[in-house]
Amino acid sequence: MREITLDSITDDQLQSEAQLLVNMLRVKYPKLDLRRGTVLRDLLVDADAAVGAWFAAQADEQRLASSLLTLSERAEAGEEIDEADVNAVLSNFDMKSVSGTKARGYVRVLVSSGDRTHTVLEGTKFRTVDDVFFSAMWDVSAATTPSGDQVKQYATGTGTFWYLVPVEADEPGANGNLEQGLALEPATALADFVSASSYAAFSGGSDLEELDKTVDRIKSSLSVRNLTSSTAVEAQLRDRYDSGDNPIVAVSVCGYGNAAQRRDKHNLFGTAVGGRADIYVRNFTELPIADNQSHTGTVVDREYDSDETRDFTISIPHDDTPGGLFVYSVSDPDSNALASYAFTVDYSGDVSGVWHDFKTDGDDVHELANTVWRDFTITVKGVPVTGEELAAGEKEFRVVMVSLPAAESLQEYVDDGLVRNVASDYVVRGPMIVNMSVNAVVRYRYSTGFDVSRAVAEICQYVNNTGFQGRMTRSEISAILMDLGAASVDLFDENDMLYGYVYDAYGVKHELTGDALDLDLVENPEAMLTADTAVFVLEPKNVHITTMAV
Amino acid sequence: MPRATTRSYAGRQVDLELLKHIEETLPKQPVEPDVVETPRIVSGIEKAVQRYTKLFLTNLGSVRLDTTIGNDLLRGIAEGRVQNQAELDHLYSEANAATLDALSIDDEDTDVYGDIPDDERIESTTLENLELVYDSMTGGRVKVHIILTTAAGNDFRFIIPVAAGVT
Repeated sequence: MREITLDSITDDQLQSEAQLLVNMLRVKYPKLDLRRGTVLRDLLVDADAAVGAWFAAQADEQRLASSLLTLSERAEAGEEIDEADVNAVLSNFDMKSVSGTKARGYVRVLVSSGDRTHTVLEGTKFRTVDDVFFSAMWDVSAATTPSGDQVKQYATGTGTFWYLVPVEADEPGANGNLEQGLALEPATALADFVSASSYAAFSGGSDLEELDKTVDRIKSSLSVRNLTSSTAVEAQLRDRYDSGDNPIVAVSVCGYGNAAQRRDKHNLFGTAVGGRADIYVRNFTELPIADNQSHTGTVVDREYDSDETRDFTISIPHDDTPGGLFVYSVSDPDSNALASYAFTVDYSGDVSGVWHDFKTDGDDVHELANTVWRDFTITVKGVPVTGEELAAGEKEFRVVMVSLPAAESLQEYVDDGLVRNVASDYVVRGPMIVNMSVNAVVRYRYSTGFDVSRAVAEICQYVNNTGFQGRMTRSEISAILMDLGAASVDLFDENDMLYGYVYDAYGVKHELTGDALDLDLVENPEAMLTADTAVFVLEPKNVHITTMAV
Repeated sequence: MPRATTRSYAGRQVDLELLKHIEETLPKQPVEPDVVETPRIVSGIEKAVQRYTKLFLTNLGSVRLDTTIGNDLLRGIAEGRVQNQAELDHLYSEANAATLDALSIDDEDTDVYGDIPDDERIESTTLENLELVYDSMTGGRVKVHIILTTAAGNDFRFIIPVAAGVT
């Protein structure tokens, strides 16, 4: 709530209050001259009028701060809203707004020497050129030959060495979700320091929930708290997770009658019998990259023509990366390149000890898609190897996996005996992710300019906060660009403004392109790919805006 | 100009005395604030002079509750804008006009404040003299000699001494 002081009160408010007092006093004491310039005016009217006006302004402010509608209008007018005021109103509905979260990631610190141990203490700050600050989450001690709690210091082959420091943003916000390879600078001197950059894309940062989205959530919050309807499921999950590190963005429940629900058709006739529900959860506002990226690949046992390259398989069991959605890239651990080895992925899973109803048939484990029970086996061919790696029959890889944050926690929660619906079998799945890119030519007036960085940020913010809407159109993106001052938005190339790809439950890649990315065109309910199961994600590096001044 | 002869203020609206007791029988007298043991009330010509003087000496913007009240006379003198008589005359004219406007706002609002007698309603004011009094010890004064004419036809001469810091 805004603090009301005498400076907040206008002359009109004061005069209005003064007039009220004059009228009241003259009824009781008509002989007192209370006109301007009299001593009695100063003594009896002015001071009390100031106090009265202050109280009236305070009451007015309390009234305005107790309405989500007026708070929302103020926010739209550019006024800063106190989160405490919003939560005070929302407490009437037993809910609160989703606080922003802090981004996390790894900083790759390059040093000039590997002869000694390098230490970065907890709390050591790193900053970007835009003054976004990050702090080391714990003490890191790096050595070429690590022991105990030390981390490995890798040689680049050019005389320098590098190691990783886990960091967290100092402030909540999506601006902490740095792209891979972004330069960072330590706030204090580090021994043998050469440079620092983001090792992989940072994730987990989100802005404070916008007020209109909070208002939209009220209806689910008012619903009954049990897993009996879509609204109730969403309310139950929001209750539990909205105040944590991975607040819910959107939920889609595919139950009886939904085409994407495959698990209630395990009968001779393949008809739906109910009793099963798949809960697709979006609790991320950027591509959710799994933390664990270091994996060991094993040489595929076959005949090779030379000792220069080998094929490797990399196993990523579900325990290692629960809730895995798809493999994003496979590369060498000491490579900062954005490229990836070509790879194929096979899926497997053992549900013998799982009480949920899954039908698996040999290699066909599509019903485990995006759950906490699916295992990944990645095959990479023609990878250059060193003598050591050849002898060991193993090689370290950096495997970037996209996985549902807090997948295990979500599944455990809906399985909790005190929470689960005793009449149904609920499984939590990460959504099918349509990884988008946007290409546009923006024409703007030279006198007004056009902020490309802001456009990229706002387009990503918009897309990454959508739910299971099934369609993303050029119009939605163009509207954002026009609001930011574009005179016109043209296609980068004919019918090529939007592009996206999505993997279905079988791991088959589907591509979409055009003025709209419409999931109806690639819909495959048997592969659990429908508008009810997929969401759109847009990374800043995939937004290409060409500007032209007119 | 005929002087008012009545001194009965029965039924009049009253104010508290702020300035020294104003004697009508004296041809001209300075009016200054004073503190006395026995508070007095004022009405009639005394109240009119007091109201005028109080508003005349109010700096514009200094009244938190009404920033439109006041004028720049005192501030202008203190800032050294008065280099000669002509500039002092100009400042006075502005201050006088602002003061009469401020008085009229409530004087004309008879619904709220009731009717005021003619001998309390200021018809016009005339600047008789502006005197710069230099004093190296006290910083000097500006003495504003004013003839105040009421709607009843009374003239009242008084002097408003204003500390000027003139040396």
